[in-house]
Amino acid sequence: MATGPIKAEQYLAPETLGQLLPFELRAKTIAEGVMSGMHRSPHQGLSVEFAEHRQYVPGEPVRHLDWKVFGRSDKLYLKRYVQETNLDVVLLVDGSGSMRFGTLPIKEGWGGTAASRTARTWTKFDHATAIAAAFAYLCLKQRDRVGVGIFAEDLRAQLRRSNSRDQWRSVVQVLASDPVEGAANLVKVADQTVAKVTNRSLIVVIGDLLGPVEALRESLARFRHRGHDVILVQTLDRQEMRFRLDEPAPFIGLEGEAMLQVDPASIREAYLAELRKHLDDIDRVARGFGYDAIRVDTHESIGPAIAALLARREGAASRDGRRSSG
Amino acid sequence: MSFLNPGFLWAGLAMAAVPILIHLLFRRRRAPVDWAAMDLLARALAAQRKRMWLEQVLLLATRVALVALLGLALARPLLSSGSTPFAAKARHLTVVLDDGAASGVRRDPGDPSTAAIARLRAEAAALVRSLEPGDTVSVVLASRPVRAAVERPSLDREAVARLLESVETTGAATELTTALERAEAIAAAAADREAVVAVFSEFRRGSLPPDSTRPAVVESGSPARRILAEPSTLAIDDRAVTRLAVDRGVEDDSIEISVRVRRQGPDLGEASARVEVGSPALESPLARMVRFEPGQAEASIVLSARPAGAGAADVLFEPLTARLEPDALPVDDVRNAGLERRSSLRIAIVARRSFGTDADIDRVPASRWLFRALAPTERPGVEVNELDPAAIDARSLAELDAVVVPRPDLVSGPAWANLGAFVRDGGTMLVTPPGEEGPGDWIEGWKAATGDPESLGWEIERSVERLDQPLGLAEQQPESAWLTSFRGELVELVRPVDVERRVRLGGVEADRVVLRLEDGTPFLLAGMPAGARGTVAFLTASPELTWTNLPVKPLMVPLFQELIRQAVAGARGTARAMVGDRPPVVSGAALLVGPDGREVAVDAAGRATEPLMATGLWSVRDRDGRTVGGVVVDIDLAAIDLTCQPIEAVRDWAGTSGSAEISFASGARMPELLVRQDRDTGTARVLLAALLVLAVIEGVMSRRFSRGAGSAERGDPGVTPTVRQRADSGRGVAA
Repeated sequence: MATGPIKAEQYLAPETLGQLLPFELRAKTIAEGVMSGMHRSPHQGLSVEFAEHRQYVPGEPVRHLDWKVFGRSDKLYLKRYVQETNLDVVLLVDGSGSMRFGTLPIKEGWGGTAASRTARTWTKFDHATAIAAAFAYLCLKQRDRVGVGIFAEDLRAQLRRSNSRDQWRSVVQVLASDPVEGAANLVKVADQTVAKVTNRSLIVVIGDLLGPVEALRESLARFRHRGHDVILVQTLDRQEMRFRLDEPAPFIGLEGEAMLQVDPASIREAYLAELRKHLDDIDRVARGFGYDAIRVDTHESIGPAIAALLARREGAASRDGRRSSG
Repeated sequence: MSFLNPGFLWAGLAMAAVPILIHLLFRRRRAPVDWAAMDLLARALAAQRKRMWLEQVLLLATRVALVALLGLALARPLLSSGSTPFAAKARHLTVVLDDGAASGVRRDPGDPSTAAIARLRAEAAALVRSLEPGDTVSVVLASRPVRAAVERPSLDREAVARLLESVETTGAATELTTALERAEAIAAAAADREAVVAVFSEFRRGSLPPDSTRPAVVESGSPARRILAEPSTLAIDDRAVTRLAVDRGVEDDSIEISVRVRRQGPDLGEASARVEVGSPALESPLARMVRFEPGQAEASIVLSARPAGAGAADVLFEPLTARLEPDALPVDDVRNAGLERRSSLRIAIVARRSFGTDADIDRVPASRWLFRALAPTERPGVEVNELDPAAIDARSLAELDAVVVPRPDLVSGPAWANLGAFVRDGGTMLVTPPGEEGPGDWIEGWKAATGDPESLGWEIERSVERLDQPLGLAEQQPESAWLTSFRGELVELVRPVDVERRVRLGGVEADRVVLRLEDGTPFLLAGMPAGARGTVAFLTASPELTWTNLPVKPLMVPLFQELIRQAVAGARGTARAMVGDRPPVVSGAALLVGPDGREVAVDAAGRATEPLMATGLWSVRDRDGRTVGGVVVDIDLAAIDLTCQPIEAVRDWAGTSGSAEISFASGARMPELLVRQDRDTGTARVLLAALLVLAVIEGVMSRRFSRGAGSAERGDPGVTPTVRQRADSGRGVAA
């Protein structure tokens, strides 16, 4: 719940911004954009940058015939171009109840949400919104259009894509004001998203992704069908990843699950095995669709994870560019 | 199976519930944990639920067993021999049971079942029954004479237990030292077994006098364990008849009977006791109340009685009994004496007739002092006359019971021969050195009169020894039967007596000494020459004041009265003895017949072949069955001291012999102390090993079942994020 205006600076620790600034966010795939920018346009032939030649097929328009080549070789070739476009980025942040979990005590100047201020811990939702803010900041800085959606059962709060000067403040406002409750339904959210985002965009899904992997697969399939690029950012609390609890206790689910009486010490190995399997499945699904997936620890800074992701995507884009020009 | 410390068992069983309670309590009181990854948790739980349940049950059971086993170990279980592999050695138990007079003490005077002996024998029987097959048992009864009721180790525990249950007190003194030494000897003989000696006694002073010697160490083999019953701490009031004496013969018109009653216990307030005196020789029984003032422990009365008519011709003595109303210790409520059906004692003092008075007391001759001692009053009962040395012949001696010779230097050779015959026929002869020193020729005549010198073995020196410093009589005098009637007062009586001159004797056997000087040399000797029925006594100092102050000391009268009476009684058949004694009897006697009709043979040495256990008057018979004397058997007054003793005193007595292990226990706990040491140790070893193994198992299980926590402690990172923070992340690849 929003309790007041949040300063954008509160979301990004100085070291986070410092680690992000040297990189430029590029879409892995060629995105459609209405503004020229740094992203490659899928609309070849409409841009100013030559891409490749291909043999003319009778019946095709002759507007892009390369007459110079015809004069030298008496063969008809068409010129193809790659257009640089702006990127549409949609940040989907998981606001389900499970995101209220956190074990890192809150520190001064970290910002945060109503949930974290109440619990005095840095929740997964806090981390997710910080990541979303970082992405938004970077995108807006290179004049990409950024939209935000908070979801649980469905898309609860949305901010239309824009690269206006006030968009950053709006993004922050949306991230800070939403309640964190209910169960996540990724498939439904994917349906709602693709209904609203018609042009090919980069969709960044930020959440704990602790729901069924099959649901994740279905939602990614929907994004893929519409040609969207997806980055999965999984935020997990360190305790969830290490499960360092010793005393038997009743465990209560944050999304209304039944209580479980658990002796953590005795099932730690089994739990970690289940967690590894779950994470492996997520990685496998993401790889299957060709999407990037990263996992961040809520006890660690956001920057390194995002920087590593961007570096990897930058490298991949360069390799794609060399193959296109060759 | 039984337990040495059953309390620990119950505590252990109770404590075994603690792990369960902890498990339940902690399970309920834990604060809930909010968790996001519930699906993963549920899947992990589902996969581990059965294993976890099994682990928890196993761990809980192990912990419960651990606590219970600890309690069991502390309880020190005693397994039967068949159930343990550690029963290496069988045991041999020697039971020492105090069946002496003091063990007859009753808590309720009217209820015989409350007697100490009833409890002691029941506890002893229970202890024997607690033995196991293969164990053996012997029994030593501690009253005088100490005897092994079961000497050869017996495997028949039930028979021995029944025998113990049939033991009654004897009225004799207890000789625990001798009994324990006997038991140790028996235990040492069973060298291949674990030897245990169990002593059942209340350890009152009557059973264990404070001056008791400690048991000698048995050198062979390892010392037996000693288990002693805890000394009684129950003070008991008791009255006893300590003296019964007849002051006149029955041939007179009346006799005087003196009775002394002593009481002991915590209640010494004003009291009275009824005494009954009865005898077939009296016209009617006598009864009198004895009164005690507060604090008074002893009181005496004198009763006058008329004798009944003459009894049977062959009856020399009639029993005389003084009886109190039964109290806590019935055995000392009765005292016995023999009432002689005969004329008074006739004693002759061999001396020249003297005339005039004794103006100078220092010059009063021995004969006069002896006359006063033997006939202090004009009462009939003792007839003392002077006998001129020249008149000593068979005819004059035949009328006499005893002859006192204070002037042996005046006795001629033929007279010595007559005196020798007199002794052989049962007469009593008391000889003292002549007051006037001479060459000592009389010694040859003495030797002739006493027969073979070897028969007595006394070598009298001719010279008289004048002592530089007067010698007193020793406070510890020999245990002689001659002075039994005033043995209790003997210490006080001998204390003031000094001797300035004496004749020395050689070759004196210890058992002939009646009194000794403080330098250990004999002062008064008595004995029967070989082949003689009579007694010869010799005083090493003439009873004159130039030799000794004895004539003017209180000892003088009872000493010679008792000596002569005992000697005459012995010669004619009367004697006193304690229960358990084998008293000497008149020569020619062949049989003793007790008041209960029991017959005891007389051996060649003139002693009963077995101890006389029944109190009362024993009749002495010759080979032809004629009564030739009597023996009065009574309890030993020292044996009825009921004063309780502290356990330290008993431990000091029993615990300083060798390295034997000493334990005290109440009767009920005796069987627990009887546990075979090796078995106890073995059981403890098994339990200890089991405890250790269980503890290790618990530790392993606890660690293994909590391996998640263990790996967390070791720093297992669990699942890591995809991207780790890098030091050079700030210099990444630019787009």
